[in-house]
Amino acid sequence: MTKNKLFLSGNEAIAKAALDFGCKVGIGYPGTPSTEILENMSLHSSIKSFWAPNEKVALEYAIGACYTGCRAIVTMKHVGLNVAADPFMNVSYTGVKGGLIIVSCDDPGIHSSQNEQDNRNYAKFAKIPMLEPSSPDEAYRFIKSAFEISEKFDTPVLYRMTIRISHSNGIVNLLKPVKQNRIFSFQREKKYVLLPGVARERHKIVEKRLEHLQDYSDNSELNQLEDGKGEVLLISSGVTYQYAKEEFPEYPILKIGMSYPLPIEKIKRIAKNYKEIICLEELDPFIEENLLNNGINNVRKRNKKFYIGEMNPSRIKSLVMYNDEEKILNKTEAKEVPPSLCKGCPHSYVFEVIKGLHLIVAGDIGCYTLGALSPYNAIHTTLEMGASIPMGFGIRSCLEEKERKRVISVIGDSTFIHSGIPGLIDAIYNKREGIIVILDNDSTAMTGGQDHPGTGRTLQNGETFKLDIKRLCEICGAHKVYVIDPYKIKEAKRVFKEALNENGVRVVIARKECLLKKK
Amino acid sequence: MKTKNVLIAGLGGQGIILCSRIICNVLFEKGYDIKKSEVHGMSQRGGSVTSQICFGKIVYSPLIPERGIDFLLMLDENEGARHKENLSEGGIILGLSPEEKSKLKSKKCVNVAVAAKFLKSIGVAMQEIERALRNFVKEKFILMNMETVAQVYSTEKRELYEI
Repeated sequence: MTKNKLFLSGNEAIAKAALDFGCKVGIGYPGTPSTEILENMSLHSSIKSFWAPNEKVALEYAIGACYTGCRAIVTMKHVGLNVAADPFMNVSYTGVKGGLIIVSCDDPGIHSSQNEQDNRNYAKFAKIPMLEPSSPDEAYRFIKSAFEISEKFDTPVLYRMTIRISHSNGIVNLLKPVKQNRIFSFQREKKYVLLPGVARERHKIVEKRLEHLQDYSDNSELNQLEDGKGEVLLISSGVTYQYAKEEFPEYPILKIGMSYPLPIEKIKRIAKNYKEIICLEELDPFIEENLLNNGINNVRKRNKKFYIGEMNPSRIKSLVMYNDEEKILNKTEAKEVPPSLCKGCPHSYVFEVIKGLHLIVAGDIGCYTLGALSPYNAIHTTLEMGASIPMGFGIRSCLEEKERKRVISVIGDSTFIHSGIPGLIDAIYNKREGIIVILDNDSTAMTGGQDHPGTGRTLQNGETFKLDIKRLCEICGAHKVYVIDPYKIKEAKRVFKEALNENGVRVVIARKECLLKKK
Repeated sequence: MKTKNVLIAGLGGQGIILCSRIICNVLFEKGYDIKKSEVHGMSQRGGSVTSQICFGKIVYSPLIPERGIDFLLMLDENEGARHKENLSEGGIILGLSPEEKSKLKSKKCVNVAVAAKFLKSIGVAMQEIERALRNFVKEKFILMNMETVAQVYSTEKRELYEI
């Protein structure tokens, strides 16, 4: 019964596909809901897999690898693609040689993120083809197609996952593995050097490539019409297909697996046969607008309420039947228990100290963001990775002298290495005044305790050079660097008070290993 | 058969993921189509956590529809209570009574006990649970967990639900 079948999560399925379809390089930065892809890839020694300090570095490394003909996968959460946007936009112009897949795991519903941006827009923005699996089985199979598309059309491929596919399990039917025993080499090509003259030429090629991809999409099995009864055609994207099959099994449904470029000619042909088309999308009206722009006018304009939040079977039902939410849903919203810092977490001790000093705290992304909640209420801004340092100094710069002294920045070790360092350098270069607190728990804790350059351990838990954060801060020119043990509260308080009265850029490193890591 | 939906409710740190893995592994070996859904990340820091399992002949959605829970498995009473209104007609609630809880060797076994209680109620043999456990639990913890399973299986009550 279970031969050639595995019960995998979407993320595990991608890792298995990487192994089966000749991927040699996997790299990324942890982030919910993408983290488990690389963790599972790292179990296979035939794939060189790494945690990078941030998503931009990860993508750049993979681009280099694919220029030699190697197949590579880069993984990140949706907001990680913002960090990697620069290489992402430009690799569209240079093209690839070996297949390059950028996996973006979106978080509709904001289960563990700062926003719910719809990264399908990035495909259009960068003119890069995009595949959207609807299940773990497809998350596995589509990787094969994505590599083929990437190499055939000389383009990176955006692989858009959502949390409900990444973190749901289903039965995956294994395919015959693809053997790739090529020898990789770097051949000089003009297209790899994006000087303006080259880039202008490449842009023309990119536009031409989109036309070819459009043809491909129109004829691809990734986009399939399933016949049904009635005058309404459903068009699904990603996981909404599964909800629709559950709620409206009789309806005809066009299942979109390649959502950029859309199979527009195919849809034009089909659309005529139906009174109305309803696009079942999570978040933005990406398909809906594309159809309307192409003169397909029998498309229902979705109620804007559906631009927000994660879809589920009930919401699909209300969308199709009423184009409104409230009609069938009258849920009594029972209170969920919010997450909180673990009992005894070293961060909580630092927050106790900060709370007592009545400070204005620019915070960052990590477990310590939970310090914003009671009983601490000790984080007052959280924007994105690395923001705490420049934002803290920005707040200071506009306040009265007395208020200024109360502003500090709080950032974790992994986040500091990810994108906090330029903020520190800016502060010193521009002769700013203030305190940066680095909560160093020797871990990327929120995503499950992954290693990073500061832990001295690799993705495979091998030993490597351990970045000394204290020395790094000193070399960058910090005027004073303190290291405290958060459990020694009295000493911590004394150091904070001393630091508050110093001049220049002061760094306080609160160092204690994450409790979950000790286990 | 009609798709059956199981919702496991508890708090981060209670071992919901293991509970759900054991159940899914047993169902997978029995040849069911299964979809399981849970969310990792921030919610695991002590907050409300659920795992949803849908199994049957062909299963599409990884999420349980409105009022579609056939089996509500409660690792935590309060958390379970929040989902009662989503039970299907004839939906069944399974959890541990305070007495049953006190008999467990460790609080950490609640997840395995609840999984066993459910699997027993749908006619799964104890050996099948052991086989599943071996896929996820280190050798040194197998004995403790199997004692828990045996404890559940030794109780007189023998409700058997049709699936």
